[in-house]
Amino acid sequence: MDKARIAERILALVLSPDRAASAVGDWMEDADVRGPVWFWSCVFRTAISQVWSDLAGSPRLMVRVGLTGLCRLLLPLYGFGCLLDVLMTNLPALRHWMWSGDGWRVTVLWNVVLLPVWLFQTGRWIAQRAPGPVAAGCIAIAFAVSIFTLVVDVSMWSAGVHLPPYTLAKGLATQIPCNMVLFAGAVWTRRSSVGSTA
Amino acid sequence: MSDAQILGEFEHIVLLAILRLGDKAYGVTIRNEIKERTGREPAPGALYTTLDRLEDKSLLTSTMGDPTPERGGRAKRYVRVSARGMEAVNHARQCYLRMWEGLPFPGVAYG
Repeated sequence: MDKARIAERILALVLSPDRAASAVGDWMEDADVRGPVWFWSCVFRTAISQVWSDLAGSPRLMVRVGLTGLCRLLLPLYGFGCLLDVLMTNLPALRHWMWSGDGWRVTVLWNVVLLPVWLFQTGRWIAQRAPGPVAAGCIAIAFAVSIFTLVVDVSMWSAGVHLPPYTLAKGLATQIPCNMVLFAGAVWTRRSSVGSTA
Repeated sequence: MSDAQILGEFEHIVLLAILRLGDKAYGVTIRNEIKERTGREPAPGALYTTLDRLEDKSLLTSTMGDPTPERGGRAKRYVRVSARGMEAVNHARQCYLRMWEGLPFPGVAYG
């Protein structure tokens, strides 16, 4: 795949496909004279500028997407955790199985299948709720989740709960792969919808 | 005059560049015109984001040209100032003129 096509795909995440193509075409006219650094600088600066414009241009939509996305993301996760807790409390056989060495299967099922699928679905939901500024919607949710993590950890720490060292850093670092899956879901849906209308 | 028609400084410059270029206004020529007239090259991010915002505010209209080989087969997006855009530019000009009126600047000659 040539650089222009890659650049077009990156820009199509934040602009409509025809706008992305014409912008890349503009830079192609000068790319031979100005070089690849200038070309890629144009691509990334335009993408960042557009994401910022989307975030700042529709703050209410972004706050709504961030908060509803946070609820949509976390409520089922907490619900699943509570359900598991209740089941383990009331079913000694399950509790025994979980702690006897076979419980890793649930952890693997959770981390490798259920969580990524749920994150991907949430990404798709963002693309449906904010079809234009998809990248900005993902950033809004990532920001909301980061704030939530920060508030929860600081509250627990203030309440005297002993947290292992680097809990906050680990919590925030875990969000990087999670947000990538979220973003992949959003991009997937956006590309599907753009492809179907093209 | 609605808020959407109140122009920022860069929006004003972009609209004036488009008016100066007439039918030849697209990304590259607008960037060159601004660079030639103001002495500074606009950041690409700022230029394309501004063009999109102006079009979203209906101050611009755009049409796609024919694909050309030097652009890798990609079409130019030609832009024109709409009637609302003309109103906004005129309003901005009036505002600037009123703000300049009667300001004494020693050593500066007004034409």
